[in-house]
Amino acid sequence: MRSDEAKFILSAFRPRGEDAGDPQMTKALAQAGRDPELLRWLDEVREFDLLVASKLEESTPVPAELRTNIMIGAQVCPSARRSLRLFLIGTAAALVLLVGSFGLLLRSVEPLAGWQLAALEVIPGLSSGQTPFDEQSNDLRELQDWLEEAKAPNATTLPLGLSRLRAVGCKTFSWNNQLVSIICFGGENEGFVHLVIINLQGSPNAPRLSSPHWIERGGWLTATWNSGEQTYMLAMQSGRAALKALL
Amino acid sequence: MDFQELVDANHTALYRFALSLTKSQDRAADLVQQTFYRWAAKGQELRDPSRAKSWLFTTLYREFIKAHHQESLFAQVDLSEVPEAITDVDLIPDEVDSAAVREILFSFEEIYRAPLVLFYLNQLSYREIAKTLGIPIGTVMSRISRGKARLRRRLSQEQNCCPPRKVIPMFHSNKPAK
Repeated sequence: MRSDEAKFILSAFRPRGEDAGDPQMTKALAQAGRDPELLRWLDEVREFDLLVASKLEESTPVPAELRTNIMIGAQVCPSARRSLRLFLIGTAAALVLLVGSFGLLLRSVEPLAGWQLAALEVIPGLSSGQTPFDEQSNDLRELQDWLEEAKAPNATTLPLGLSRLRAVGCKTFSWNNQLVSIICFGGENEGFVHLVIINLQGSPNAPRLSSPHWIERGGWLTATWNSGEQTYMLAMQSGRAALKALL
Repeated sequence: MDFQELVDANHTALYRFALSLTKSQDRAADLVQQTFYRWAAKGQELRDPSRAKSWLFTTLYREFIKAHHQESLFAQVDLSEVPEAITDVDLIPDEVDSAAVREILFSFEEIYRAPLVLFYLNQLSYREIAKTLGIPIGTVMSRISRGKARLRRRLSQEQNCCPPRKVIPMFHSNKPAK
């Protein structure tokens, strides 16, 4: 091996010696062992590389909150996308069957609508991390953009309290051939808050935000209201006072 | 290695790599988070746990490329401007300013910046860098060699002409206003 060939290879030799076991590096290092000038060159290059590495580290501090954000995000993040798909397919099939067969019966005994029941089937998985989001971001605008591209119902207005929370991610699912969107927010002390949105044009007797419809179901407190052509449902596990503070 | 250990072991180096690619703290943090979420979704299917680090860097880079697919990453390099790669070491700057190192490194074209930063992060071998960036091993070696020569020259010029920077400037978010 010529000296310039060895230099070329050793340029990629990490200065702390991590690559010493690499076959190409071994040959080049052996050459340096036989060539004092090449060895001197290598020592100086390694000194320079160590200096640059330390300066690069010094000049690029890592945000203190990054690790925390990753861990928090992971709590609501998928552990198995495949199982989610199966879960969603199963859920959707079950819901279609359930609603198709017993829709009228359900309505007569249950104040929650079919899309709300379907949402309450999906939401616990989002909170526990068993169900992945379709899109994750702490920037609500990015989630809105994603929903717009997906042609899914979008939040055009938000209650003031809710708008102060940090967005976490969003998800859509199909109910009765109609898309339903869920935007998840990270509550400070109250855990996650889920905003479900569906386009229900001309819903009669729909409640307004000033007097939302409160229903508790399976440990989830929900508040439902209409705005324009959309119906919103906010769901969280904390008490009514905490939920009311967001409206 | 569980998820928390994986994050602890890799998030700082991933962030620095992401910062060098995006030049934005916000976008770098987003990219790192997105990479770990991808891991949570798919990475655990990786059969060889020893490849986790390489998987993370590769995924981060692909996410970056995907987000910038409209940019031509390899098309605007004039190789004639690149100095000879293998030069004798004639000068190691005595007082290298860390801000200058970052500024100069981050000012390089992407094709030099990415392999050089990965090299200086000390996390991946040149073979792993090649896989991460999707380029041949020889190309990685060439870019590291040429990039280092250019870095050395620029640092020498910096030392000869400019006083050390007193403040490490922080990048501003360059997310487009919506």
